[in-house]
Amino acid sequence: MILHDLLALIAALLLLYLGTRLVRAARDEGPAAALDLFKHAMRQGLWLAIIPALAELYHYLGLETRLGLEDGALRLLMIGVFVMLPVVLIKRTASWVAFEVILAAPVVVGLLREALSSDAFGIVLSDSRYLALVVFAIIAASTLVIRGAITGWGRTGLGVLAGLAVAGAAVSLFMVTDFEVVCFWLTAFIAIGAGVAILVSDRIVHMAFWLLASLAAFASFYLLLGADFLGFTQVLVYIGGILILFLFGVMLTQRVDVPLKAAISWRVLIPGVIIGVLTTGLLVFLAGGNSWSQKPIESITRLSPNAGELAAKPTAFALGESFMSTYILPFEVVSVLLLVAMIGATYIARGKSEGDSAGAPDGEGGAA
Amino acid sequence: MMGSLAYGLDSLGGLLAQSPAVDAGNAIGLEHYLVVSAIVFGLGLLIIITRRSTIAVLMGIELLLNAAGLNFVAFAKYSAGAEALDGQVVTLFIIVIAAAEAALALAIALNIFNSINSVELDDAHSLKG
Repeated sequence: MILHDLLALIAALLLLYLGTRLVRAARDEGPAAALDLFKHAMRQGLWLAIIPALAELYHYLGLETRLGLEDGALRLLMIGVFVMLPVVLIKRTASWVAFEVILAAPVVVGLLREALSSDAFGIVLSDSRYLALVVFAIIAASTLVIRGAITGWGRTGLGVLAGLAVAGAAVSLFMVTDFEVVCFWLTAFIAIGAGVAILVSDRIVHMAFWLLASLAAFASFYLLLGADFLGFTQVLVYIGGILILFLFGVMLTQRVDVPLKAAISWRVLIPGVIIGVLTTGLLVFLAGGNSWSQKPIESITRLSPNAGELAAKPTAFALGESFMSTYILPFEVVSVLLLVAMIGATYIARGKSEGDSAGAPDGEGGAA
Repeated sequence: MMGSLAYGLDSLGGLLAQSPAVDAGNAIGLEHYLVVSAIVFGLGLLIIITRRSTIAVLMGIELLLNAAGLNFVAFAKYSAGAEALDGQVVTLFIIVIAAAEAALALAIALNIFNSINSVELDDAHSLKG
């Protein structure tokens, strides 16, 4: 498998690069500087980039067949690909852009293979792996375009690369003719990328707007799943209500032009990140490794159904009916809860002196 | 020119029409949504752990709630024997409760700010400011 040899090589190079940087810093400026560099890189999200490297090595060593998790490496790789983009955007150094270009190289090979419709290159890609390459191409293309926009397109090589990558991504999108698949991966990319951006950005207003992107992606997920009422409720309540509330909270409590203080102390950060990564890994492992009992594929609605497939039906009427029959008790309890929350929020947020209730958030009544 | 364009569109339409309709290996399934929601959950958790600002922590909580809601809807669509609407109803309740939670939590953050002039979690260490 040439593809896997290539990716494992990239992974090894990435780890080597990291190690060299750290060792050089330790040799030149002492261990404290190396620790500082490592800390800084980790804070910028570098630990996320190590995930795909480890995943690929894990695959390369053949652990997944021994553990019986066949597609685990692919999944972990996808996570890594999604989170790489913000890392590149933040670091903004040539080496990281080069890394993305290297990632895009297998895509070019895959496209060539598709074009020649032969196994001349010795790579046999299953559909899901091919899709992963498409996502690689899209991410590489967007990275290069954004980066080109930042640096002003001065370097022609960069521009040419970006053009090639965009063309590759466009061709790939046309090759994947299942619209639902394309929508899903784009949405997943936005949801996870925005989550990473919230994690690594250092201005609270930027975080709020990345939250907007993430919430909108979730609305898109709901629509993809055929939950039309839920999708629009998500937009109305979350984006129209809760996010505005957040912006009010930011405005009333923070100096927006001052970057946030550095992360909490290193002593708390290490166990925290370990717990977070372990929890995520466990959840991904359990969600993907378990074989859930699923409906037969004919009875699942499709986004753009062909003949013989089901289309999603509008859900607003049926939802209203079930709120008024099966779920009448929770519905009433929630309405009381909202009233209590509204009164409580008004009471708590009122200022110390009389008449000073500027911050009383009373917009949540529209959520009912 | 127009002729060639029309021909191109025609052949594109033919390509789309003759593509295999539902391919079980390629189609998006339950696991895809579960994995995405697990990742977003983990990101929310990391935001809660690594941030000091109350507002940022609340944003992490919103991500957690969204990830949970996505799971409910995905299971309702794909799981055998599930009624499609039950999961959506639960997610609607999650949205409503998230709205109440955000209002109350931000009110508390505002109150903390009024008392100690900061919303950093580490600064709020006394019960009666």
